[in-house]
Amino acid sequence: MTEEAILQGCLNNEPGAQRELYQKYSSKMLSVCYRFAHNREDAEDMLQEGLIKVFSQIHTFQNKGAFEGWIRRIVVHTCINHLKKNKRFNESVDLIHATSVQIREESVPSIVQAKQVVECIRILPIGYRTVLNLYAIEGYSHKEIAEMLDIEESTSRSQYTRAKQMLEDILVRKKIIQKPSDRSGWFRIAAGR
Amino acid sequence: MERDFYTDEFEDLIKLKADQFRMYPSDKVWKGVNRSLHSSKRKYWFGFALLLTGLSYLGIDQLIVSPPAKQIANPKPGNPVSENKGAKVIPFDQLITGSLNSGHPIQSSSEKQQDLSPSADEITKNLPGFEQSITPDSDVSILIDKPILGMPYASKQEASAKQPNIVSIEKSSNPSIYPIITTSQLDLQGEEDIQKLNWLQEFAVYDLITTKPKRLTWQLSFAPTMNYRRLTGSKNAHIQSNSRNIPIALSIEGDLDRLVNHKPALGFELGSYLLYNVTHNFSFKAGLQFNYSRYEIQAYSSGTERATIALNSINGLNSPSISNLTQLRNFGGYAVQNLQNQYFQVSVPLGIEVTVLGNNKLQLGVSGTLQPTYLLNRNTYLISSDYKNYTREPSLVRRWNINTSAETFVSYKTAGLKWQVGPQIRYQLLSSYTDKYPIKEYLIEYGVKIGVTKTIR
Repeated sequence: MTEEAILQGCLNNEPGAQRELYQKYSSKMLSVCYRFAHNREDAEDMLQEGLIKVFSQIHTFQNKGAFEGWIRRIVVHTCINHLKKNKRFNESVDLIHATSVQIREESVPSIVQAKQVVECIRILPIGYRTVLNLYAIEGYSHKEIAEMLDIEESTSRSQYTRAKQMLEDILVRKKIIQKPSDRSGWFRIAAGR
Repeated sequence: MERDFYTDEFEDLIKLKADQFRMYPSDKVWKGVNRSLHSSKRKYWFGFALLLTGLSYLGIDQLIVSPPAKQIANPKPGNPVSENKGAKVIPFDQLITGSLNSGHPIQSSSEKQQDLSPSADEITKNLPGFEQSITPDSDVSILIDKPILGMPYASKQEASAKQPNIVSIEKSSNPSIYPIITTSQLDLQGEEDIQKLNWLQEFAVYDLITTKPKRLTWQLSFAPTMNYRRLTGSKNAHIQSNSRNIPIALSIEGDLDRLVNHKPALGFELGSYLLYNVTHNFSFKAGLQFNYSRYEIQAYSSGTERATIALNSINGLNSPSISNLTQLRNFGGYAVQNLQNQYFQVSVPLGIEVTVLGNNKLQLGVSGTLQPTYLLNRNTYLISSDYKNYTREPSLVRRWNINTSAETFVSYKTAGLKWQVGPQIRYQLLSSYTDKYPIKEYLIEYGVKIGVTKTIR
């Protein structure tokens, strides 16, 4: 089924087309949600909520950009809203205080490659993690992040710098990456890239 | 410069690895999505159809079709059984003395005899010394001491001292009617017997049981309603002080009601209630009610914009917000979009009904209920904090609510039914949205309620 056919079917509220869309994007979008979420269950809740929004707002999609990108924006916004509704996120956003957080080495799962990196991202404090996800992976600007998270733009920048530093430390300590000893660059990963 | 190079490479690595990462959702995610997209509507309509079917069945059963048992209890006029329903026989020994002592003349007439006939078998059971023999397909005879000898009533008194006594009850050709005593076959033995039988003819009146008042009634009602809402929030379009850090679009000054273009729309209410009559004029009321409420919103299409809803914080320090992408504007866009905020509610009304004035036929009454309400489904658009956009955010819609309703009505009793009609108003006590949403919406419904009430027997 082509993307156009899926889109048209979803516009007509056809269950078959909706199922196709789900099968095509759910895995990728769950991975997005998982990076923001506290655990897998939360991630699935976010995905479900996000996909319901996708289906209910699909008539607003204009063929100006990639369909996947449009879905991803909705899912990311859903994740952010989900986090904001969580009292823990609002009160301990750790956007300012997270520098004091100690990384417990034993909490890093020993899984290789992509999963290992993602799991390392997930052990970052929630505020760091969110900014890093939005900036480094989702490609939002600091201005957009500031709007989404209701913070100052400068706060977003500083949080990202700290988040990145912390992630680097974790990855190096876990020997997932190596710090550059010369100008050949970062990251010689044991399992390869 | 070197650092930037490394940094970019690090970011690329993170992005690459994150994009490579895959997880597969469990089945419950699709089930949840699918249920939300399809089954909820199906379930709602199925439930609604079931409710309507149930109420219709009850209505037809209670109001139109009488079951066979009731047909027997309410036979055609002229059927002697009808006057004897619920009657009981006064013990002979007690009443015969009383009637004789009162000096009331003892007479006989064949016409009056027929009036007694419906419960002759009951009567005879109370007569000492009487032996009853009933065969299904033949005449029913009551034997008194001697074998049967048929004799005209006119000669009974002459022959009473000599002839054996016979009371014969001929079974009616109509099986639904009790057998009738035929005086032509009546014979008496002595004066005492004559008195007894004359008493049977004349004074075995039935002491009708005073039926207890039926306290429970069932009511079915329908009301087309005009629905609207009352909005309260900040007095102008600036978001509340505890949300002032939210990055919002340019504020628009003014009262919220003047900044939105909403119109009332038609809905309906369907209810089934049980009423317990405490007194003749006062009843308690409880039941199940379905309400469909809606009102119209005029909006405009636009390009994709961010709609930010500033939320009320619980502790007053943080000011969270929710951002959604939307293509609906409150003000100018390139096309008009007519939206509807719809609510499907089920509630349990608990209240009272009072008859203010009137007679047995025509009455004026008032009624009031408090209605714990559950929102079955909704289709709602929320306005953003800057009043510029509409967006959907189901998580901010309240599921449980409380409504109150007041009505006055004129009722008319006819053929065992009470029909009533009158205006009613229903008001939602809690906002349609959760406390986090700074704007409060209270639904209001005006309608004309038509109801029919039937006493449960």
